[in-house]
Amino acid sequence: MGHQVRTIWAKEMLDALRDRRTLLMMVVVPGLLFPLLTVGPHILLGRQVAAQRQAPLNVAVDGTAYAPGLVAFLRRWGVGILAPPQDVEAGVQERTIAVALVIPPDFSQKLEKEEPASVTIISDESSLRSRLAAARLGALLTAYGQQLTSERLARRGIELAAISPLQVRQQSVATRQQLAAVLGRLSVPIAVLFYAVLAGMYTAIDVTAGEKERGTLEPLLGSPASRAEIVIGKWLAVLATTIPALLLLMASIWLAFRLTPKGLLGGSLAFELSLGSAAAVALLAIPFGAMLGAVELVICTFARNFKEAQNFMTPVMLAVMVPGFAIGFLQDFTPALWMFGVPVLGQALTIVELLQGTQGLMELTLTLASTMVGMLLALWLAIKVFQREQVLFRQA
Amino acid sequence: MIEAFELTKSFGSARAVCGVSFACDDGHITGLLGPNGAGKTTTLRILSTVLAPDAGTATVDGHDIVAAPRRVRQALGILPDSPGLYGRLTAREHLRYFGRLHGLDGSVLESRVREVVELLRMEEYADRRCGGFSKGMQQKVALGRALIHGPRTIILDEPTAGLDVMSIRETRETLRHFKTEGRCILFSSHNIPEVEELCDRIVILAGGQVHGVGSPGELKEKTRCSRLEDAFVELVGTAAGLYDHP
Repeated sequence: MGHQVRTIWAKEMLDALRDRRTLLMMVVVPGLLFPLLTVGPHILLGRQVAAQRQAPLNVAVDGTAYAPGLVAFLRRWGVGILAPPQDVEAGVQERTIAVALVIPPDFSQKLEKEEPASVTIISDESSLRSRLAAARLGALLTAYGQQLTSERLARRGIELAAISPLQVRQQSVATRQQLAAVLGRLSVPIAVLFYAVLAGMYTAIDVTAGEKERGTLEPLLGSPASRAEIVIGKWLAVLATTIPALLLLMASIWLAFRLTPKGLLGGSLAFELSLGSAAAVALLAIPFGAMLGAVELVICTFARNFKEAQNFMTPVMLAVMVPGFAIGFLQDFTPALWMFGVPVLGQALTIVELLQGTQGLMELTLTLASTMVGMLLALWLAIKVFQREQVLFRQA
Repeated sequence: MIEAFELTKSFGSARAVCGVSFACDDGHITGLLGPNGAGKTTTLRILSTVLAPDAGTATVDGHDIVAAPRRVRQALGILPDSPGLYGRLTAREHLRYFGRLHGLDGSVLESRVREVVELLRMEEYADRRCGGFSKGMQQKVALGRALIHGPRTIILDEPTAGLDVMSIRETRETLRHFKTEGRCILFSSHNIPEVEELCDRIVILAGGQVHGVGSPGELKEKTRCSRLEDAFVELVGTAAGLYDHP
């Protein structure tokens, strides 16, 4: 048994490694393309936030003459005061200005009479730039209000602390790793799931539908190797392309997050992929890739040629991506234990847990057990399918 | 030595072969002659254990195709109807792969590969990848693959179909050479002159059934025809499908 399996495996490896598509899938895609796809969105998001935070705040102020004190305060904090357009609201809407401040004519009089004086911030909630600018302006106005408060209190001989009986402090129980994982779950699980299908796909197609298309299947079936030996040899060849590719994928994603400057990734909230998490995800990806490899063999054995096999694989790829996407967007979702036993969903959930560092032993065991059962089942099915004449010699 | 007993095989509702029986002796060339769709390829695939018969059985060198298929595959050399090569492997790598599948290894394997390359005169392109090979070169690699383990019994499905004249001559020479070595050769063809020239025994197959067995002389004598083609028509009832060479 071992001898035949090894012979078939060795031949499939030689054949696959001479195929440029295999090398592309094993080295270039996981080494370069996927890290870029994973880190890229983080960089884009982080850059936008950082750029807005560091950019000078320019505010179109309508009614500067009514509040010289406030305007001076804003100038002191580095705010650029712009002349307001004819229609302030339209200006913000058309995004010619990020944010506007409207000061009513009675502002100074009200302040003098110590009545509440109102100002209005006009912003566009749908624009990130406008939202951030409004938040910064709001913080400055609050600070100005506090300054006025303490001046008034001082005139009456009261300390500011005396009228602040309650100090509310917020403490979040989320660890930094969890916070960052909120971002990480958007990109890492989908990359791993998708790639576990993609990495071995060309090899899986080549060793099944490819053999039919070239007419090489018949001589192989006529050799002393049994159908089980043939399938296991081919499966091992799929694994030999999938596993190194998945390890390379995790290594290069980890390296990409490591090498990208923190500032580019959104500063303190940046997703941080620890070496431990990356290694744990990679270790989980190995049996997952092995299971998918067997599934691919089952499906591709039905196809008569390369093109048909690719068509058959498309729904599988989509099916694997659905849980990946869902998990990225369902931020406040507590999975039930049984979900970890569902193929693909379980692995996706476990990857998220590993990224957050919150994995439970039960969940992990269940995921690994279901992966192993799925793998053996798919392999058994692949052998069964390979014994069916209707499948191997399927006509149009 | 091949002995087939009442081989029967259907695909869905289509009956491909029905009660096919014949024997091929060592040191003889046996031709399976019949039009396209006669059941030649199905018969040969059953004998090589690639397909399982619905009923009946056969033995190859005494091994039963149903009870001991692996033994049968070890005993047989098979040339299927299309050469079927891996474009990214060289000719020599094909021979090595199938040699290993037949349990050869190390220096025994290498010397066997050299022998086959010499026998089929493939030295010139033995280390080139098969991707761009001509039909004749492909056929030689496929033949070499069938011979690598030195089988006593060889099955060839339309070995000369689609080849040029030189390659056809070489293939026929090779078959005669096998005969002088005492091997059992079974090949299928729909080319009457070729079968008449090469075969010691002809099995006439049409519509999945055997319509006659014998040497070219015996078949002509039996039907009182001077030409094998007329004998064929006499036995089958029609010559349809014999000449539309693909």
